[in-house]
Amino acid sequence: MIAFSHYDIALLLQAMGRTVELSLGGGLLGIAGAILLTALRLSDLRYMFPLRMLAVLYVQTIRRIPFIVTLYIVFFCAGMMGVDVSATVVAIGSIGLIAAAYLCEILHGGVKTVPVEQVEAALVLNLPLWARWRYVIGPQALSAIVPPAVGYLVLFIKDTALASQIGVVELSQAGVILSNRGLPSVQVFCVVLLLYFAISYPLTCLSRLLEKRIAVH
Amino acid sequence: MPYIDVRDVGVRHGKNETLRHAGFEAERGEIVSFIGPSGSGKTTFLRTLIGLQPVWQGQMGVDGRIVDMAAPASARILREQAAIVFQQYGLFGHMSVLRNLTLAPTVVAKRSRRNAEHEARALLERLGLANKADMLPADLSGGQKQRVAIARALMLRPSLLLLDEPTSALDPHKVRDVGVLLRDLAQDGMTIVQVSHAMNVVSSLSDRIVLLEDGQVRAVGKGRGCAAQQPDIAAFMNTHGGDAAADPAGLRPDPEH
Repeated sequence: MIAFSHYDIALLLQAMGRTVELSLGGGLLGIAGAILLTALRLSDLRYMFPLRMLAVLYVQTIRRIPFIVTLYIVFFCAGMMGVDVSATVVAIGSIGLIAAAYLCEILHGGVKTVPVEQVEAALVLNLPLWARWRYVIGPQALSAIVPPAVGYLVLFIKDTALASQIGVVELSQAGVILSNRGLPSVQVFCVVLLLYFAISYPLTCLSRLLEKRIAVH
Repeated sequence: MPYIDVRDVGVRHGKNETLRHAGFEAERGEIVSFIGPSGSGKTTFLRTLIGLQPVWQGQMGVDGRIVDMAAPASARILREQAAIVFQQYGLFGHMSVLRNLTLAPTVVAKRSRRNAEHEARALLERLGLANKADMLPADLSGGQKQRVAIARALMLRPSLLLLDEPTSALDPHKVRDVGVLLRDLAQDGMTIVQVSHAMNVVSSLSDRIVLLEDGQVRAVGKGRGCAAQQPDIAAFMNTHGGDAAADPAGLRPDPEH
């Protein structure tokens, strides 16, 4: 068993906090962005056409660029424009941009699983827009959205490790630092592994809970 | 002045005119059937009547009140007087039968849930579905789903009930039940417009037959037995699996009615 000093443990916990911060901040930004993008893509108003095309272009482009490239683009753009923000904020922003694109695909797909006839039935019953979403489309779309969306969010907690490339000391980077400092690498990274698991497992539990609630509804 | 008076409905898809100057009239309590070859615009025409299909021109009079169907606000007005039963019913899959019926009355008409449920149960009882109130649509047979869809439409107390292919998904022996139900509703004063391919049902049930061809109204037959009297309609029906003169489903109303 390795002897972690208090200092080492503090570093690991702080880095774990950073990873949570990146995941949570990026995830929430991504969810908000995805809702906006999906709303744009679903709008059938004629004058929204250019915005709708932009949303599709955004989603299709971002999903084809490696995460690390987006990260660098945002990082250097921020530098070029003289925006003085920490690397963590840059990383959260980039993660949000990417998550928005992926989650938008999941949201859009989920909404499309609701049969057209049900949407039309809600229309001819004269249900206003909010009621169509609240009672008819939302609950049925959610059951198709929650499992893949949580699956994606769990996957992308791991991807936050790439933020180390622009200098953010998150969990995996803390592992690198500790092993460079002479602690046994295998053990250090086994601890890192456990901490990643500790972050993402509750999310999976939450998903199961949500799925059950939706199924009951 | 006829109770329902639809005139000059035009629908365009790009350069194609899927509907041209289409119209029909109906008195209160009549059953009108749209027939015609596939692609003739029957379902499109039906959908214009409830604002699901945008039109570039057309007007609809209901009981003397004229609606410009091309106006953006027309959909809401049309939906206040009409209800539609879709071919695949469009029941909300995650809600009980009862909730399917009470959703619009409670959310749109702001009726109390108790009041709406009371009416819904009475309606289900009338349609022989009393014990299905708490079931989900997926647990029902095709015929039951259709009756639930009709019940949901009736909750809106429409003066005009539209049905898209009401018998196409049913077993032959269920077809008669639907016909009897529609006949009952019409006798209560509801005007019914259906799109149908089942010529036997059409000739038994219809007070008026509208033959559509290529987006235009080709012929209109009026009154009982009109299927046999109007030559174009009779010809169409005889070549599409029906006998214009027959009443095989035994649904034609009594002459004195």
